Amino acid sequence: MNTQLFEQLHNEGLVTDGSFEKIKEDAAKQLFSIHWEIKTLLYLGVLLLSGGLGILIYKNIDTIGHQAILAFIAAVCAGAFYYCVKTKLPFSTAKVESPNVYFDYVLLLGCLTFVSFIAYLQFQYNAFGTRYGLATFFPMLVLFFSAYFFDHLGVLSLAITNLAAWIGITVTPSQLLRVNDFNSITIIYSGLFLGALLIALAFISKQKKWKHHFEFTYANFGTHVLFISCLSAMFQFDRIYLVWFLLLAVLAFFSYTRSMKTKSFYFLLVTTLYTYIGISYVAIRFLISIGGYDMGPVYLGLLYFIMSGIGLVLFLISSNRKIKAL
Amino acid sequence: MIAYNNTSLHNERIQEQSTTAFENNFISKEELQSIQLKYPVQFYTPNIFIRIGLFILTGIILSFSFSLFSLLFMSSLENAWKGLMLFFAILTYAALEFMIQTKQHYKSGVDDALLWNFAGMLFGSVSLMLDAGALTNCVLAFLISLYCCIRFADRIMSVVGFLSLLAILFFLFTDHLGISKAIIPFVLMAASATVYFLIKNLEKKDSLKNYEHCFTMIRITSLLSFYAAGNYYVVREVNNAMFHLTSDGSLPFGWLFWILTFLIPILYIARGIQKKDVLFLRVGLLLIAAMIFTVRNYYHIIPHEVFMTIAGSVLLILSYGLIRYLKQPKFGFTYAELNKENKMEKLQIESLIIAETFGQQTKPTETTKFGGGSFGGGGAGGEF
Repeated sequence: MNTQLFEQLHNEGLVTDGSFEKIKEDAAKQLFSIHWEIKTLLYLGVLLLSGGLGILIYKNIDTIGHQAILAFIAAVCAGAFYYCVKTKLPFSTAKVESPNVYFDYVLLLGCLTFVSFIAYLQFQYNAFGTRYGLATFFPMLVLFFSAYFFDHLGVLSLAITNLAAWIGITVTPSQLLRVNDFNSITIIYSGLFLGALLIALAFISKQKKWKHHFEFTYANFGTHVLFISCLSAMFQFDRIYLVWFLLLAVLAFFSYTRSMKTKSFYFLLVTTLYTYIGISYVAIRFLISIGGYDMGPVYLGLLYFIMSGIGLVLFLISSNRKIKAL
Repeated sequence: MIAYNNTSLHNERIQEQSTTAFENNFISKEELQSIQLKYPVQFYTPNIFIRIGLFILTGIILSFSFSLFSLLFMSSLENAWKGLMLFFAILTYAALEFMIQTKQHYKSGVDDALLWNFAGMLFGSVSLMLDAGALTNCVLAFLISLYCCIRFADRIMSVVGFLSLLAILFFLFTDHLGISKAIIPFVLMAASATVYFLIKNLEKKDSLKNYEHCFTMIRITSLLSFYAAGNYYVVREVNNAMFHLTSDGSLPFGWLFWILTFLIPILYIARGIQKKDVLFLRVGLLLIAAMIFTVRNYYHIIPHEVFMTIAGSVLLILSYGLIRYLKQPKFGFTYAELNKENKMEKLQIESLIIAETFGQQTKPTETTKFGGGSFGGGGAGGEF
């Protein structure tokens, strides 16, 4: 911190003697935090070690044998959960801080090894037979339980991806659009269902104060899935696309009021952009239907994008002001 | 010199420092408010997400305006589009100055989008008009980004400017000066070092306080380019791809570059620890990874998975040891977080990273086809 600046502010009478003392004291300590550097190293270490061990086991599976590996995974998993249960702070529906630095990582290790254990059982011994749903259902239950019981946002995200996998779609941010085939009608409907479910969970988290800090994670996944499913429904069922557009409008309205209420700039932006895609689709469909391939609609289309762009800029600026004023 | 209002820039720095002091509980809320009252900032600077939205939307407006514009004039004037681009660049620049001078936009997304569109359009049109080669293009990019950097203090512009300066030197020595190509790495290293020390001196000047973020960016980039210019992998591959100095692809004076590859990251980290300089420390840590990749690209002593396991264990033990060691701050280093303010936000990001890196083993049951390419917002223009 710049002590010179605060000395000046102090001389102007804006900063009291006591506060200035505190600032000088802090500057004299010259503490240098390498918290994030060490955390990054720790994270990299976990990633490298788990990846390396995974490949090692995979390559040497003939000499080790499946039972030994299963036993090893189970032992690691049990050990991790044992540690977590022993060291965790008492459960509460509010936010519970983790007892020490390693707790979060150990819990993550336990959950990941549990997922691998189930996957291994299914892959090697076909433990769940052809009821594939069960093989994702069990890990999902355990993940959700751990997320709430030990209070871990990362595990909650894992649980949500697992829930989505159980329903049949992929929801990690980078793969949401890439992997899912949104031309399939079942996926669109499952997406709508999952999105609504997640939004409902977000709402419940907040309303009932059951881990209210989980709200963002639920709402984030839910909003994206819901909007993308709704948009793809519009593109897919193109004879009744206006019906889906209505649904999109309703969604946008709710999402907008919610983001204003929670003062979330992030959700405001997401809502605006998804809705803009929907509106532009309708506008272009309309222009094509009136003009065929004449030049007139082309000009109109360009004008539409310019005007709507300016309109949305003004809208964002005014919404920004509104949220700040709240 | 700088387009933004000087007083507001000055006051913004004061407010920023005071806010940090408030978040660390050094000053009270009343003190913060009185400071904010005494040093008001006139700028329009929205929240970061609104900034992103405004950036995207301004980009859409500009590109469609340009399409409309060229569509109107294209039919009457053939081959005029280079001129049209130049004209549009000037219009964009006028809009940029207007938004900054009159509307007081500062880091609002609108000014960022206008700046980058202006720079891109100007570069494209002049480059096409001159039918420029590599060297001319680099000079052009350098001049434009230097102007934008001085006038608008844009961080990324400063990086572009620095990199185009290095590119100018590179092309000068490869194509235009009849000197041995083998000295290019040393020229680039010398240039990076010179720029670094120059910036270090400029940083101390009070009159250039508005550019402090640009200076930091250039310092980071010059540290990286200093390493890259001497890195064995980079030198060898560039040599083989462009000059074919030796017939078997080996590098003359290879040992020298190996020494540089190993020495520079260690020196960076040592200096970072000695001077408590975050910049050196982080760049050094990053370059350790680059060093390891360079070695493993040429020598496979142990298989990947064994290496990963060992490296992972070493990292875990090292970080565990450091955390234990720094529980009580030692030599001015601590593990504790000094700024606690954005803890919530950071947690959210961490959880997303976990879902992203570990969550992929849960494969969906029936989804393999590539889908969803039709979601790009502005891309709808292709329908015409």
